[in-house]
Amino acid sequence: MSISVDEMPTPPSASERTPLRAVVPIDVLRPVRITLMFAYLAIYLWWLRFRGLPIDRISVAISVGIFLVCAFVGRSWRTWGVLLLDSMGYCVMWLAYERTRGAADEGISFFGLFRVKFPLQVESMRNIDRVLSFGYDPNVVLQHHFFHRGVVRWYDVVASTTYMTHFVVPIVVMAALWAVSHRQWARYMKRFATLLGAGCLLFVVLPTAPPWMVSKNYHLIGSIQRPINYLGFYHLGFKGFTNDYKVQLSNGNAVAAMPSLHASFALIVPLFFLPWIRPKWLKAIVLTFPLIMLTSLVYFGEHWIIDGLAGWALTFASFWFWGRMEQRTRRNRAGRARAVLEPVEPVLT
Amino acid sequence: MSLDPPKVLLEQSFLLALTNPLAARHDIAVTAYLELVDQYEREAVLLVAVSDHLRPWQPGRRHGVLAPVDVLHVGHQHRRVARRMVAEPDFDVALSLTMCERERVQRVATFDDRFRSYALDCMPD
Repeated sequence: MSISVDEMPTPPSASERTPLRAVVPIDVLRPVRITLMFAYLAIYLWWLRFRGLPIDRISVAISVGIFLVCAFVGRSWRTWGVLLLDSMGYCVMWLAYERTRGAADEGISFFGLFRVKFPLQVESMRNIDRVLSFGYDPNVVLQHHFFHRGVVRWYDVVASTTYMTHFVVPIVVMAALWAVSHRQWARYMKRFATLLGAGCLLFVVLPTAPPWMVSKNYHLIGSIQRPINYLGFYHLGFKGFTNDYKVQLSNGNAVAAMPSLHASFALIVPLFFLPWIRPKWLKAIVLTFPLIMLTSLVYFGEHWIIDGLAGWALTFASFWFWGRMEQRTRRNRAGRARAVLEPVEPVLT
Repeated sequence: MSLDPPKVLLEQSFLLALTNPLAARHDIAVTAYLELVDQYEREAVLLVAVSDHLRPWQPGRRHGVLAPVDVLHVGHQHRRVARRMVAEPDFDVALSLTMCERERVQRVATFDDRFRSYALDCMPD
């Protein structure tokens, strides 16, 4: 039986079509999730102002966990299961990082039989920095011109705030992506974990004395004041933050200067979101953040310039690698589909 | 604003036509799907299908024609919502509509005309 064109049912026009919201019952827990997330944000900001920002790994993990519980209320059990697995992977990643970073200055032990300890880099980074800075020591020069004991200038506040974002911003982004798009969270985490792993490897094979240590213990460069990275934050009234930070430092590795993960993390967030930022001027502004971070690190005497450049190089390498891998995965999957559907053309000889 | 590329749902009727060479609209499905696969490769779209509808192809799905397709996992809550949908008595259609609404899917590849009465961008034309 054939149907004439006149008899064919005409599809409803756009205005006649029923919106999905009109037929699909609403998700009653969605407003609950949104309310909880706003309540969390309000409490977080209150805590930040009056109690200080939690920055040690356990406090951060707990605060991220509470946020995720708020964001996942009413989601399916499967989603919760995936979240649990993700969280375990996240904890293992940080634990491995902390353990490796903390032990990196002691070298690598091979099954307890023998230990390989790599030589501490004291002069090499200073020499590279001198080449990059036309014979000057940039840490000393910056402190000489800008640091005034007992006085906190606006740039101290900017530098200190930028420095402290290292402990918060990458994790906040991680939590937000977790709640918004699991696919984007996985993309971010692959790059982030690669960066941490590569960073730890370099901490082991290239233990590097930071500028303040080279100044204080080896006297190879001029005098460097330290610690001054918290002064700007102290000035803003975030004392709780600073206390936590001091506690955290006691478990650190003083010769884990190369590469600078402060510089890496300051780049990873802008670089990740760059494809979604349309105006070029905004892209340029966003990319000044890692520059401010590196300048702050050098000013505080925490890192050499080359540490920051190596951190950026690692970040770019991680993005390049995973970009290629994801492209390859898409190409392979598309290829498998085409191989089944597209007829093989006969080869004429 | 979504961080992910727009999703295209491969509805059950489309999946059946695509994977069965003897189906009446197999050729139309293949032509439309190959175009979608090109877009997927350029990361212009994400191809998704409802887990219940993908079940027949689930073992080894990533190695065959549906390799580019991601799964929209159906939970009890989605089934409950689909059962409560009075406007759409067919459970499978109701489930697809539920998943479209919850996962913010705007485009649907389907041969089922019932989807054309909803505010969705249906294909093939």
